[in-house]
Amino acid sequence: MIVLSHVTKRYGSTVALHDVTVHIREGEFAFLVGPSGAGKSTFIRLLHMEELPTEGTLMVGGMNLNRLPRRQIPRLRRNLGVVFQDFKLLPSRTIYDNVAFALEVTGAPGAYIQRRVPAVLDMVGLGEKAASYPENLSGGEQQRVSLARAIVNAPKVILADEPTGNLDRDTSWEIMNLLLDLHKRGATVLVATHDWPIVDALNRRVIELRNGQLVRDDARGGYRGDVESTQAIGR
Amino acid sequence: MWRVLKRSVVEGFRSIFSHGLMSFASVGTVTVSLTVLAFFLLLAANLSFVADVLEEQVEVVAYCHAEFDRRWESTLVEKVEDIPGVRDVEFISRETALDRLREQFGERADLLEAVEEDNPLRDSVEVTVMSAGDTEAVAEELGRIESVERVDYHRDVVDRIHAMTEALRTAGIVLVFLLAGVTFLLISNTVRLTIYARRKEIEIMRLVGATSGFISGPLLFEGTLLGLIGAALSGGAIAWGYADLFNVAQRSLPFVPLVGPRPLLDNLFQLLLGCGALIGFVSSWFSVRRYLRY
Repeated sequence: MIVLSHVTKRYGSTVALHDVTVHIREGEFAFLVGPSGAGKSTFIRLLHMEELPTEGTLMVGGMNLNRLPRRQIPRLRRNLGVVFQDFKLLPSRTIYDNVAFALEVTGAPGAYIQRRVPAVLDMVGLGEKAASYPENLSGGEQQRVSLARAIVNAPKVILADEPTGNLDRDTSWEIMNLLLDLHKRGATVLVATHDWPIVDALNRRVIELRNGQLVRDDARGGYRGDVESTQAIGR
Repeated sequence: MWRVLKRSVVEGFRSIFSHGLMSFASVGTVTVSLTVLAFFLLLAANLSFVADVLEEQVEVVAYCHAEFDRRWESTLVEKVEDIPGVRDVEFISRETALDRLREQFGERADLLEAVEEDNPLRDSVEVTVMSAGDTEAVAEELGRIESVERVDYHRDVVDRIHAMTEALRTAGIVLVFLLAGVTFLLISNTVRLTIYARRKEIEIMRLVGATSGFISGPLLFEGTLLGLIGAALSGGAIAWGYADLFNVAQRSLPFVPLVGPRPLLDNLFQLLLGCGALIGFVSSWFSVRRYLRY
């Protein structure tokens, strides 16, 4: 579902990712871990074509990103659900409109939007807040809106970049449980995080980056792989 | 297509209201800048009008030989009309010339009695020119016509009028061009600020997969509409002000040549609307493009 083959990304002389090869199969749930600046965000941004790789090939959901024309980027993004650390909600629109917006851009018929949006808001437990504005919601609620927006198009792939970075412990678990729910329904989920208690507790596939290099790819593991990586992280 | 248009209009209107302060600032800038521009356009139009009025007063008179045969009158007039640069031709017979003289003398017309028996005046052709600059050439051509004995015009006056009208026209054009440039910069900067304030919004739209058209449509419509509203306001203010000024001037200074409000103001209003819409559209397009990379 997600394939990176010898991917390198450089910003000028800074190397953000160096020769990374990863293969995530359809229906998998994987964590992308590593300290700040390890290249996690660049990894995610390459997948929704916010950035283009310097070298190497990328495939997402059957689309070859190296050959995808710029005009087709919107089509790629509609087939991906992306969740951001800072939620990225439109402050001047209601919760309902924020979620409906992701459907409107696809040209979905109005009747479908009116059925689908409340259903998705119910799913993330915000059915009651449809008419509120983002500023009146807590961080956890805003992240659930962002999640609702990510899944409203029923994407096969969900990318989350530090989805719990701004949230407290309990709220973080709420968001993580929603992501696990989506995984159970068949979505391929990739979560970039340094929220180690969650990674340890779930014991899933862990892909670890350090200084832009892939240092570990365990089928099941915790945040701390071996002693060496623990020291490197400084814990 | 229809859907995109409809959405652009609806969202454009919505966003003007939800960004009330920014919209107000843009409309205000457009109004003020276009008003200043319109003021100078009117000034330029009037300068050019004064130049026209002055030029219309330039006259060349060709006097015929004493033996001129009146049967050739129409042929002569046609010949004169064919000279390039001639605006208007009038044949003045010796009798008409004498009548005029009598009118000028008024009560002292009795002084003319002596000449009335044997009219010493000549038949003549009075020519007005298109532009004061043509006077010399026209006079020369007139001199070449057989039946013409002598050509008369006030060379020094004509030269001065010519220099003045040229200066007036140039000043008008330079002023308008300078101001048009400044106006464009002012307005496009404001529109760019409006869109800069929304770059987050644009980024989010891109991230959820909105196409460029979907994002830029409402913004372009909004920019155009803000330009139109500003233009309409400035057009209204200028029209009202000028019509008032014109009336006052007509009453108290009737000798000052001013261009009448119609059709001048109608044309000006259309021009302002066109400028407003165009500047709004173009500057939105440029600034939207900066935040849309595809």
